[in-house]
Amino acid sequence: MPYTRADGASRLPGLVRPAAEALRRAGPAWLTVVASLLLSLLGVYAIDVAESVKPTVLPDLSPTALRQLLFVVVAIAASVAIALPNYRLFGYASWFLMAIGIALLVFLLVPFVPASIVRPRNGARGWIDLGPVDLQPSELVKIAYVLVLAWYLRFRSNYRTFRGLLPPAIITAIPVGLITLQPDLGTSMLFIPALFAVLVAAGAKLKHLVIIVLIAMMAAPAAYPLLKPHQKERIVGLLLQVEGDPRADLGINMQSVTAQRVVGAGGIAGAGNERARTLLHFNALPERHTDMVFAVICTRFGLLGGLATLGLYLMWAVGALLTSGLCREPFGRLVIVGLTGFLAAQVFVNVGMNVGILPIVGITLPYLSHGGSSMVMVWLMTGLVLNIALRRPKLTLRTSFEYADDE
Amino acid sequence: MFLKSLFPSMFHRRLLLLLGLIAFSFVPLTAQLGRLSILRADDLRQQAEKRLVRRQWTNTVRGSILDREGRILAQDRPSFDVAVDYQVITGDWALEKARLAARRSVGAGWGDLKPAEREDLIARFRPAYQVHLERAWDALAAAVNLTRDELDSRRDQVIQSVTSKQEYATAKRREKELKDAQEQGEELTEAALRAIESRAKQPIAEVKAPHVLVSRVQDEVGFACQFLAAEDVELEPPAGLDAEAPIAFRSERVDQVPGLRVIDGGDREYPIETATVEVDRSTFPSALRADEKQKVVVSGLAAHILGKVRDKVYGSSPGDVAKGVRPTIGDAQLRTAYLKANPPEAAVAYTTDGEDRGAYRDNDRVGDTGVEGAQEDLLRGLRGLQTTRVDTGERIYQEPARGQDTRLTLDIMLQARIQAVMDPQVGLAMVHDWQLARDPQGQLHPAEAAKIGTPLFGAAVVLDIDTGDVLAMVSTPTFTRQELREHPERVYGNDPALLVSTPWLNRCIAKPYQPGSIVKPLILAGAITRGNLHADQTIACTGHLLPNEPDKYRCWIYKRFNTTHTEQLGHDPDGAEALMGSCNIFFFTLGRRLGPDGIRDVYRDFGVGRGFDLGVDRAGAGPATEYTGILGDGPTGTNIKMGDAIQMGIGQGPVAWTPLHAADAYATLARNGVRMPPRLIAGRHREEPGDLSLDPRGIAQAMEGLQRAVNDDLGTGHTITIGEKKEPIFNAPGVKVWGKTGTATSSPVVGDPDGEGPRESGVLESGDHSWFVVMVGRDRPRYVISVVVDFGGSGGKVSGPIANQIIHALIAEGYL
Repeated sequence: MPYTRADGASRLPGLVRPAAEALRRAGPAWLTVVASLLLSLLGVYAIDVAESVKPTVLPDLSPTALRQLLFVVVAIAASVAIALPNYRLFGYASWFLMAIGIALLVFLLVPFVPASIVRPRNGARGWIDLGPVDLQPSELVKIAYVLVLAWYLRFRSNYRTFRGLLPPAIITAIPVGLITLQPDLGTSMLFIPALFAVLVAAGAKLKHLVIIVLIAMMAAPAAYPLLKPHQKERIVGLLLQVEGDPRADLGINMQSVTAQRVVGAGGIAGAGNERARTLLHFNALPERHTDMVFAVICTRFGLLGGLATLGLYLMWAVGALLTSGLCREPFGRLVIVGLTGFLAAQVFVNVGMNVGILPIVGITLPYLSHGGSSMVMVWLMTGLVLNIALRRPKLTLRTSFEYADDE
Repeated sequence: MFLKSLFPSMFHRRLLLLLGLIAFSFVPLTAQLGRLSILRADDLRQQAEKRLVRRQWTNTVRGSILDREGRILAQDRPSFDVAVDYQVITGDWALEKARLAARRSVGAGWGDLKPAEREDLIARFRPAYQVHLERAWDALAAAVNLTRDELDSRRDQVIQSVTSKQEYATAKRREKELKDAQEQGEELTEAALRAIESRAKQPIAEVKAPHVLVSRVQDEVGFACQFLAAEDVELEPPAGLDAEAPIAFRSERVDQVPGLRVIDGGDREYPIETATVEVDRSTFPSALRADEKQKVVVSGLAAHILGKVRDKVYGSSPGDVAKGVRPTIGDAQLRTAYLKANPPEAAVAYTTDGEDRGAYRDNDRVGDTGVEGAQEDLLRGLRGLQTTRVDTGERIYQEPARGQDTRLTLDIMLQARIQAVMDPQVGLAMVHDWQLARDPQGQLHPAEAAKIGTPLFGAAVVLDIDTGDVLAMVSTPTFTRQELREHPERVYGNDPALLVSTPWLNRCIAKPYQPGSIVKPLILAGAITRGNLHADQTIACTGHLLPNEPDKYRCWIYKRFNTTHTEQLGHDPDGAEALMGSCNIFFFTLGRRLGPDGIRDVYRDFGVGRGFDLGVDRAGAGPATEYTGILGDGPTGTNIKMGDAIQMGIGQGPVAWTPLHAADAYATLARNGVRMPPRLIAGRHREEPGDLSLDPRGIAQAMEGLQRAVNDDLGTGHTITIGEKKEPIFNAPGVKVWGKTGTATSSPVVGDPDGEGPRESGVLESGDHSWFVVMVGRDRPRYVISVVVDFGGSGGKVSGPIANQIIHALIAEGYL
């Protein structure tokens, strides 16, 4: 090793050597970090494509793209900040953080809060206006929830019984309920896959989980009347689309149909710089910067671009899960799995929306969609993964989540 | 398990499971992505790129219809219409522009504004655009020479009309969707009702389209408006803006008159629909003769033949909107079939992305009846197309292609002269007392006497023997297009006079007439050819055919004068003499000798049962539909009995044809048995001439008989009797005439004489039709003239003088 002298002492001064060691040890987490970075930069470019009809000459970017770049920088800084302290601190603080999150969610719902603080966007009260920046409590609650869930489950095993699944369910139900009341059904739905991912990783009996999923699927139609009108409209719209009925194409299905059209127009390798911009502009794809940014990428870079994007997300998940596998401490393992669950679910729903197999819900794409609050939160997730990867204890603690009577 | 040995840790297996689930969930995403980007890529790409291109079509230029001398009978008269987009007419344009400007001014913060704030902002931008619109209307009013008030009232009319159409469409859609939902048993929840409502309220096409405010402007005005439409100016910022909080007001260029379009309007005009003819009465029968020329205005010239255009394109098959199938337009289907059958046309007609430049749209002019309708495919032409790329601003213009001109064989001036002489006010086509039959005491029947002075209607066809061209085809009465448009009940109505006159009917080709004695020369030629008669053979005229039945199968001379031709001539008549005297017994005998088969063959040889495919009607629809003639039960001559055959020898019984058939048959005779189907459209395809292989002696007999019928004292077509005097019918100098008179029995016209109710009906008109077919030429027969006058009575009294005048017309137009 060039950094070690013959007598074993380090050639690197001070903190640098342990830091370098740690960085090397982080290993597969780099996949996650690199994926996050690439996705973020891709997002900046995609926003530029979506916004300016005339192709910009790099490094000139459209104003929103520049703002997004700023968000990325801030988010990376936050991510570094969260990677510094030992993640177990967050574990100790998890219930406290959750309480703050719940309080904020309740605050959102309290009726006599003035609109200057909680300004409704598209009919949902989900944002707190803090002057120069806006805060989205549900994003915060996602992370707090993962921390709480992992902290709760880390030394238990009662979730191997059916009844033991109840407490995690209750822990999930509270934030899900509060977020659904905003109303933001899309975000609250994501908690369920995250919960399931954590339970699967923790070793809950697959039988139980499958039964729960089956019951939920059978009960779902009964919940249909409880949906709000516009949500029902969207589901009906999707069914019409699947049947090939063009009746709603100019109405409720407009966003989905337009997205599919521009995605198809991208072909295999994309429509080219100029053409992609004009197509997006004149086909008037809505929410180009946010919900539909995946369609923008597909228009610009075609099938290959779309597959590359999905590949990057897969890389993120692989890096995270490898890190989780290498981590020998239960809390860390579960935190990563929970975060991965959220990410994968969000990607699935958003991309599904963009290609027309799922109804439109208000879900953005992590790292790619425009938005400061969500960019910071999602880089915090990256930071947590890196954090856990950097702090693999040398001593093996007691093995966790190993059960002889598995599967 | 293999997995357990590879991954001893359960946790690791679970992680693997999670990774597997994530990857698995990406599979449908990838599949759909592939479906869109590979399978549907071309289609979606095309759809997406459609929005990059704005197309503006210009009208087709329809081909003209000309007569044989190149005179224009129908043509497009171009003119401009000035139209403005609906949004601008209502003023919504200002609101939309203000909204866009407001959005632009705030940028990404638009989504953060509350609706009330947004409205506020829009309201601040709006005045600038409203002021601009006001100035635009003033400018437009000045350009089209209207006052501002007049222009505004036209705007209101448009708004009213579109609003009511929209309401109607919304109501209809709502009704239909509710009905569909009920039929399918769907539940009408609030959400469903709202969805139905929003779908029903979808704006109709008129809301997005331009609307004509001033139509048929002169060229200078049209050009001025075109310049106006191309101008754009800098928008002035709203006044008093600085007083409020500063809003970023970006300077902007707007069209001087937004949404202004100058459309090629255009009319179809018929320059020779009306003509003034000077009728020379000096050659008229004595009772009507005069030295001064009479000016007659004839209108509706060749109306039956030319037809008309209509502004509505009909739907013929419903589409299934749910499946994305649009309803086809009837004429569109025909056009598609035509393009399929004519690949060279299709190569020019389709644009690069497969759109037919000649396709029909609402408000297109379509040929409806007559030649306009039948030749629609050739006359139509192709639209021009201006394609604008909205991203680059590039414009490509493809010129419209003019439709093909159609030239008719008709001579419109000859047609005008003939229509003039057949005009009742001239007197030849009118009931006169010297035409009417008197009883043995010389008295008129009172019912007959009541008819004196009433008009008579009929048909006249002039054929060129050498070429088969139809030089004139007049059917009276006719109608003008204006009349048809404004008072259709005067043409198609049910009142008794119209039931008799039937102005909509082209008698020359679409009305069945019994041939009567006209057919005799054909029977003679046919019988001699078939050997049923020798060339010089005679047959005695016995007054009645059957010896023991003096009331059946009688000769007219026996019926009227109680004598026979044998007596009149002093010997039995031969073929030519029988023709000259129009002896029924002779031809009853021929009919009997020919028998049902022979008679059928003779008639069929001469064209009965065949249509001529003139190209004047559109496949079986409408009043110009050619009547092909019948024999026995149908066109092919089935079920003819011997009794029928005898009758058909003199052109009665179960047989009918049209004046054109008559002219054509005589032309065949004059051509020595060479069949040459007549043609109305120059250059139109025609079947090869055929030879009937008639015996020349038969032809010679027939021609001699025809010559004597008109020129010999004993000929039935030689003179007419006015009062006590007999005067020759034909008085044209220097021409030879061959001809035959005829009487066709007819069924009476029955209708409601009061015009009041369906209960009482009575005979409105009854009697015989008067035929005369004439061939004329300086040395040999050059032209056939076939005239029939409805209810003109027996013989050539009425049709003869008309045929004479037609000969004079031919001379006047230089044909003889």
